[in-house]
Amino acid sequence: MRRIISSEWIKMRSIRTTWLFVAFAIAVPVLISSLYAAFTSEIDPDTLYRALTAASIVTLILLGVLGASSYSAEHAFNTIRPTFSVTPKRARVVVGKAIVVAALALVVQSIVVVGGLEIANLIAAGRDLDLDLGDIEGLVPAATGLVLFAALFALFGLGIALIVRSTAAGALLMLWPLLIESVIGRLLSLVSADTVAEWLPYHAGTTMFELQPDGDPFGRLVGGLVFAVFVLLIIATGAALTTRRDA
Amino acid sequence: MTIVVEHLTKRYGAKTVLQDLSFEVRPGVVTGFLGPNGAGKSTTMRCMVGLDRPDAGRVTFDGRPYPSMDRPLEQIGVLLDASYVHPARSARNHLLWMAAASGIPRARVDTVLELVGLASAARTPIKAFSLGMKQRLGLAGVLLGDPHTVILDEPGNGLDPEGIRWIRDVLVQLAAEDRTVLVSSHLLAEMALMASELVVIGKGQLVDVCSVEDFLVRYGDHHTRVVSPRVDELATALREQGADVAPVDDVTVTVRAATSAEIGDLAARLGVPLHQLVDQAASLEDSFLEATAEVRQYRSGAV
Repeated sequence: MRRIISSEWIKMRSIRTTWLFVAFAIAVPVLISSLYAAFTSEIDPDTLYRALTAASIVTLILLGVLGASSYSAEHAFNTIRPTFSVTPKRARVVVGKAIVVAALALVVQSIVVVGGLEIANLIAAGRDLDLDLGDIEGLVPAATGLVLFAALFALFGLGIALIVRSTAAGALLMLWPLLIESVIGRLLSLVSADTVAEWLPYHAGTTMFELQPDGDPFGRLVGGLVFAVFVLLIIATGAALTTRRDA
Repeated sequence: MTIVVEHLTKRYGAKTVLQDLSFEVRPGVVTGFLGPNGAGKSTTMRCMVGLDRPDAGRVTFDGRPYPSMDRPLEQIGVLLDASYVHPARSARNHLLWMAAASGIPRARVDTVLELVGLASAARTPIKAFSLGMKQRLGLAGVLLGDPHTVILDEPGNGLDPEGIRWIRDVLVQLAAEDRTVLVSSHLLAEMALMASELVVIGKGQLVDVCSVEDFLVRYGDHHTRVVSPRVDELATALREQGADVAPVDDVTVTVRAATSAEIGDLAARLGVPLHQLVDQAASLEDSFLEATAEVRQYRSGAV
């Protein structure tokens, strides 16, 4: 398995687009939180975290597309054929890709969280403003949740690509939370089924990075599990299709 | 290593691409896999390495199916299409991921790049490569694991005559080292250059398995062109001996079912002067068309 991971990592790192995506995925939220720290009269630590989280949507989408393209690009350029010739046990390739994609997302989102907060901290110090990150209640579990959520979202991208095998369709489905969940959520609320809407997987997953989840209908852990199970099902479906289909 | 193809059948939807195809490929010779475009050569090769799942039949390498192998690169080198590369990746990185997945040391990547003459372009993105360079890169990938079996699909595509000669030399060398070499082409002239044994298919069915020479004899239209000022006299005598004579013009005939030696001897006995006596072996191209035409007839007859 170590060989496959190393091989998949070489594929990932040897494409310039990967690094372009990573650069944007880090730069956008870090820039947003820096701007907040630089231009508000008073820095509210909770708002700083929420700004960082909101801007991390860009990071999530880019990581999701990176996850998707780790498979769909192989289809677009037919390199999936040499890939499966070199490693005929295709499930191993899927697991290798999943590990690389998840690891990259963990690292990128960690840099976003630590970098975004620390740079804001430096800017605040430069402006002689009081900013104590320790004041943010629930920061450590929420930030950890955000990092794990990013890894799951990147895996979601990979899973979608395993199923649809197309970068364009994969990228479109990355907008899942906007396209599908918000529509379903609204429809559900029309028929007064808001409680059901809470269980929509992406929505449930977002409790992972809330500072103080209200625990209704579930807290960080269960919310995360709902999203994780959903992602696992997508990946498992994709892996099953991948091992059956002609390459 | 012997490749055994047994009763391979592959359908894409309602279309039958391969039908009950069986043949063997032995080590020590370059075996040409010959058939017109659309005959099923690439599908057969994809089934060989487990990329496509056959509807029936199987392919084994010394008894083992390809998908059951852990690190096939070290046993079987495959090049299905030189364009199966990521354009933004460098040649070296393309080989590095292949090597990494098979546990082949990095140094080997530089060795094969040197071997195929791409060392100076190793760090160039592949999108800047000509088709010929891509074929060389593909061959580098095949040689990466120093395999004892080599499978190449149309490696001559896009190569100039010099490039084809180069590939031929590599393949002949590999076969001389008692490796198993299977190489496909739809071009007969190219195939005759590269291979000594042939597996010929048409419309997804086996047409013949033989040497290049036998293929020519079996399907070739051998005849002799005779030019003589007294050609009618000679023609009559030849017909009496059971030869098949067709007039071309006043002084020229083509003769079948008699060797040039027989014709020359007869002319000498009759005292007929000969101005030309030329053996005309059919080109491989003609033999090929004839062989695959039979399958076509058989197929349309069967429907």
